[in-house]
Amino acid sequence: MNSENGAALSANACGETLDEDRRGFVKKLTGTALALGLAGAAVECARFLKPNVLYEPSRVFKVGALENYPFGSRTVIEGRGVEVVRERDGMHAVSLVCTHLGCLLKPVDNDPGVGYACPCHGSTFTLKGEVLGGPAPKDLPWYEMYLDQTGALVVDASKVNHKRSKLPV
Amino acid sequence: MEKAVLRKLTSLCIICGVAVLVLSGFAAFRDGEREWMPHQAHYKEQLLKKLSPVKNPILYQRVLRTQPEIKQIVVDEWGAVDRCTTCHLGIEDPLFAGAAQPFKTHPYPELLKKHPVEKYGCTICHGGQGLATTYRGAAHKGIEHWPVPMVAKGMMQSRCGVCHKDFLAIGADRLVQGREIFKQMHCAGCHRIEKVGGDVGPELSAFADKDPGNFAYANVEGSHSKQAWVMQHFKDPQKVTPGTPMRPYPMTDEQIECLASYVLSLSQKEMPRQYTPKEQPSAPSPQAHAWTAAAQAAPLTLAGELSASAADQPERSSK
Repeated sequence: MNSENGAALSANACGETLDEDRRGFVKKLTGTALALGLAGAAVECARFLKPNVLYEPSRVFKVGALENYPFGSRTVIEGRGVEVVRERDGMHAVSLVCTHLGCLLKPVDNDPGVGYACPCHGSTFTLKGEVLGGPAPKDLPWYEMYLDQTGALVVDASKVNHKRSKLPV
Repeated sequence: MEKAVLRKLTSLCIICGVAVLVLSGFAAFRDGEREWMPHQAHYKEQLLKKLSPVKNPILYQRVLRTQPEIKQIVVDEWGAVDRCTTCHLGIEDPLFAGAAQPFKTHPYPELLKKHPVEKYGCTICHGGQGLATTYRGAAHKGIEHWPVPMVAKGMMQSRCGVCHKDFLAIGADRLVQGREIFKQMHCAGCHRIEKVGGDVGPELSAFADKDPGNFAYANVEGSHSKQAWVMQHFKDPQKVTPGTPMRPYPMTDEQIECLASYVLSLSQKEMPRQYTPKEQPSAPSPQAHAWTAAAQAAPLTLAGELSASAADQPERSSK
């Protein structure tokens, strides 16, 4: 009688642990499904914050044929805030946006020491874009440039030329 | 909480979690499988074969590093955002003159030189849906809910005429012919263009600017576009517009195309100054009537010149 009772008890306990296992599994499954689902939704939402393309003109633009840029020339590209400079040892494209508050710089022709001056707060830069004076905190960035297969010069204003390497042409 | 409710909630959580996971997986997969992506990979492969790593190493390295991206031309002046170059990557590149579509170079490089892609985009001349990045969506052929499909080859000149009113100066033979047909068929008897012509039919001075949504397409076959409407209307006016007093005229398909091109080029839109074609001194054709002169001169000239050309008209018509 007693032993029978004991067997029944143990069987009952066994069933209960099995039940506990099942419950634990279901709990884990629910937790995982919810967590993964939420993570997936979060990733997709974050994807929206990084659109493939914006409604703005391309930051990579052609500036014309090489012949239009004789040695020693400085050419402001209208509407792009960039000046293309050609010297004996190569070409570079320098940003004309003042690093202080973003005014458009004016190229200076009559002073060999000064390349660019800001009409807003008087910052001055050398021809290479280094700060000479005024409130501007940083040098003017150079943008990457290349000659494409059609012979057109292209400025890529989305990439800063940190090495300040000239395009040898 | 009751056990039954708890169980239901648990299964709901599992189902929702799995469903969201599957959906976001599908979204991520679709985002990585855009129609234009294989085109760009293919173009890169072809371009690298044509470029020399020795001659122009900077360009070669750049092309090597390019990632697939949507390319677009934004023309603020007329609100165009054209993404055609996402697939038509070789459009300005003579290296791709013999390539297959979509990389093929533009068949008329001299036209492209006068209208640089960067400044004009594509849809201003060709029509179609510039924002689209799929073949179907770009309306290469007509699609529903997009009123301006790409202009058919035979009617391409209709788009030249929207800006260039001096058809002879730009060598738009089809527009010249269309204008001749308009004259020979005495269309002006019923239709007014630039204050010249009758009032039986609708005025056509700004036909190109008319909203394609206001045309009746019930009896138009194929794509529901203004181009299709005009072509079929010229072929059989009674069929396209039942009850119209206009009768069919004996014209070949080519003549219909010319006439349709001419009518579709009649626009009163003011182009931004920097896009306005420069006046080209060209002798007006001796047969030119006052209304053609007016059609040539009016829409793209300034108000002062307009009155001057209007003053010229009586002389010309009296010739």
